[in-house]
Amino acid sequence: MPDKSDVLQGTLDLMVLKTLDVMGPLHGYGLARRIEQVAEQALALNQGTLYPALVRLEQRGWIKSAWGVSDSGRRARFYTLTKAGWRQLQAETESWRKTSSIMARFLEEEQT
Amino acid sequence: MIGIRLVLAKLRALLRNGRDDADLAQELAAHVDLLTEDLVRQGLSLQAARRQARLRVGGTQQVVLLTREQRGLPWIEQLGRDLRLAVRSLRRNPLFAVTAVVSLAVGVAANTVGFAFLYGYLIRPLPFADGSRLVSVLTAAPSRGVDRWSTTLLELDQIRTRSRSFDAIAAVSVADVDLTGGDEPRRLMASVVSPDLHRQLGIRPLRGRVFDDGDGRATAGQVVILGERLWRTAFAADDGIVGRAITLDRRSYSVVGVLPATEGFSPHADIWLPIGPDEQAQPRERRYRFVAHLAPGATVDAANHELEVLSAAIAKAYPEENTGVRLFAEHLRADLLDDNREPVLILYGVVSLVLLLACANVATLLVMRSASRSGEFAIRASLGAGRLQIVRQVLVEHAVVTVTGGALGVVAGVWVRDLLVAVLPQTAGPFRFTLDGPGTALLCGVVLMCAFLFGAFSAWSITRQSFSVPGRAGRDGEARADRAGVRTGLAVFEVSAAVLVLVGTGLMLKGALHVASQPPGFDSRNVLTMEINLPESNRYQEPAQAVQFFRDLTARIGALPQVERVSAANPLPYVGWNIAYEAQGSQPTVAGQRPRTMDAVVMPGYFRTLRIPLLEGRDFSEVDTRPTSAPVIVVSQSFARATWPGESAIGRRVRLLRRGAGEAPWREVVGVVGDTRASTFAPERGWVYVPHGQPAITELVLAIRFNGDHAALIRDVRKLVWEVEPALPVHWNDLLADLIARRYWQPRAYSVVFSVFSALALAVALVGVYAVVSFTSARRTREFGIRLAIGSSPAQVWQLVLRQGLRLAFVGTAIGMVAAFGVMRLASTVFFGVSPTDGWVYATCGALAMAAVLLATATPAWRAARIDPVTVLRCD
Repeated sequence: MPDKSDVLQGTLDLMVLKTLDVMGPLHGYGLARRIEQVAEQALALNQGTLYPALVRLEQRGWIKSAWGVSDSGRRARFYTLTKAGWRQLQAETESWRKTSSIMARFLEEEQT
Repeated sequence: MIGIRLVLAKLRALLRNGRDDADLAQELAAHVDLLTEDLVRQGLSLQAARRQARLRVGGTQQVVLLTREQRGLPWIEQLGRDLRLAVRSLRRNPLFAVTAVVSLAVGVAANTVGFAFLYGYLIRPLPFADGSRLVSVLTAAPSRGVDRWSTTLLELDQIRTRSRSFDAIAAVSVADVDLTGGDEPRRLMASVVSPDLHRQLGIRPLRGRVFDDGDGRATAGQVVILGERLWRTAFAADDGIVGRAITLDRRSYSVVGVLPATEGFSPHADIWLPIGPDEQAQPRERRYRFVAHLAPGATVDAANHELEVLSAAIAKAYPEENTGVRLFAEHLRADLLDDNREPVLILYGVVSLVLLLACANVATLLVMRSASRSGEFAIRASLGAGRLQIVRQVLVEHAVVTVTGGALGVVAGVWVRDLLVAVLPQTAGPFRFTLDGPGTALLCGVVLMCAFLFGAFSAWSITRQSFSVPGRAGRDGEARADRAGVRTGLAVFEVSAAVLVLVGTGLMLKGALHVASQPPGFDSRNVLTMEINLPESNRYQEPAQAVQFFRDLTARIGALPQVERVSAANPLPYVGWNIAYEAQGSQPTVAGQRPRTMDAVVMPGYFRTLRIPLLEGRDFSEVDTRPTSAPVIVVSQSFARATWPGESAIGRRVRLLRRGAGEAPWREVVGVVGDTRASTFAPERGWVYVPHGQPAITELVLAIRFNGDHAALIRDVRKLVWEVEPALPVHWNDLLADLIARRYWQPRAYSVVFSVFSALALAVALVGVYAVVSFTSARRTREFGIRLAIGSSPAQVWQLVLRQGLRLAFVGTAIGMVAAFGVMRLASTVFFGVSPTDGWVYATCGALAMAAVLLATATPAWRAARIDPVTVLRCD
């Protein structure tokens, strides 16, 4: 079985925030499905692990949630990005870009 | 910002755990349903889709647990679980729990009481402005045998102009003044002070103002400040009192303010007067003490150094007054503490020992309990509990015991403290025994530190235990002796500490009893005392007039039906001042130093009134009170023996060298009376008595031996006095026995308090010894069973256990006695009458401790001897 990378601590938070930013309000399953789609099966997401992350984000005030009805008419809890969450997303994206570009440059240099 | 919100969110989550879990479960169910629907859409069967969905989401329970950890504060929940477990396990073993909690509560309560006094006397800042930099300035005159003496205004001026150690200094003195013009004449105690004293101390008035620099000047009007007590009793708390005129010693004074009863510096003062022209006119009168504020950078040592130089300079300038007089400074607290410092420290030492004993008890019980729970621990370990978890569990149990016992102890201690404060006479001055914020924190710190120390100790001893033999759980550790040493050590410590406290208390009690059993030399029962101070008016200018007044007054009082006998003296026994004397036919003891004795001026009939036996010669008669009669004196037995050993004192000559009284006449000894004690707790000096009239003094204390009700008698006597002298205050009005009891309550109070605490210490130690011995013998049940099975008699087993107790008792007692000897040698310098080498006390306390330990051992020994070997051996 090819290694599907585990979700790095902290990156899942960023993924959730980004997804909510792009897609608007989503329920847990919607979030999981969207993240798996974007990762194109490269990510082994134990969908249950999403929920501790959602609690963490909500407690930090970056997302908020409310019960609603899904497209298929089911009761589900919908998560929405807050203003603070949006700011956090910008800051995280910025720092993630920096880190990844540093890492990329670093690894390229190693190869040559 | 996020931090606060996070904590709040987590706390909220902690409080509504159940609801969130249910909510999450619903959410997860929806998730699984949605995923299943999608999978069905992709072509899976409903069953396969559901299974697949469950797998991809993960177990609902695990997610709930994971989320819960994320949501709440896991360590608090963990702590909650540990606490619940601890309470449950303690409840399963109530004897252990109650013993541990009660002994700790006793220890903490004792410590709280002791600490309240220690803190109040020694630590709590004095309620004065910058109290830690205030010093008292006094004098000492070693050549006259005085180590604490008053100061003069002349010295005040010298210090003010020449000393750099102080940036403020004020003088304080006391005086009696008569308040007249109100409901009845009152004798008041006045504090005569430098006008800047109250501002220097930061004392604020209740009404009006404190003195200012203008007060006390010759040109200024006479002003006075009232104390709250007097303001309430004599002036009905009149709000318009400021500006009113009152009459003191027949002069008019204007009230400028009222000081609160809590002013703290002069707790006995009724009123305050500024030092004025009258006082300034007598700068050499030695009647003051100074309160000074150390200048920035100055220390007490530096101030003393400076004062020494200054004293020499003053002595040179005023040789008559100041030769041999040395000024010195000490912290105001040290001065106000008086003799309370050492007893309070020793008291705290004792209660700390009680607390240590209690903590040792808890530790012993805990270690033993964890040893007997090794089976339970082994099972827990095999079920996956980590070593840390098990130790944490034990520590949490310890914490539960500590906090419960500690809280109970503090509550009980505060209650006892309040009781003591209410019972003890209020002579505390500026010291307050309530615990303020820092005091409480300090107390809790001490108690927690103690508990933590013993907690760490028991945790350490548990970590050394192996949890790994679940099969042999029940008997694990039976053969091992590793913690037996720890247990024995704790028990020996407990016994020795208890013996230390017992011996200490025993010696002190014996000292107190010895002093109390000394006959006072007079009969203080049914004697009423009343002080009469004749005004310095022309009417009593001639000595004969004062003599006449008192003779008439005593005659009138003697005629009252309930009066058996009446006389007067100054001073009464138990209060006195010593005086130098010279005796004919006696060798001076130390070159250059005159012998000193206590002296009193008495009226004829004094000895019979107080029932002081006349041993030789005669009492004074009316003839002796005449100014023209030959100077005579009556001496006490010990004075006579010390001065003329082996010879009769009658007909010998003595003269009393009163300073400033001119050439002292030689007096002929006409009588020898029994000894009376000058004070309960000081070595005896002997007394001499001279008759009133030689000299005639205007201040005498009536001593009235009566039958029946003394309240009525006081009324009758006052009426008699006021018939002759209407504005004369009559005060004291106390029974002599009460007067003495009040004066000497302190040593007696200490004896009682120490006895109570040492009894507590012994009781707590016994609990510890009992626990150790009964535990150890219970652990050896199987061994005893085998011994009995192979032929030991029950008596032999009984002896085996008893021997263990005896060893503990013996070693502990020996250590305790050595410690007690060391400690009491120090204490004997503090408590009069305590002899550190009283073998009888050591023997009694040792025997008591041994007997108590054996008693604590007897029950487990008896139990061991009654073991049925068959039952025991089948048990395995």
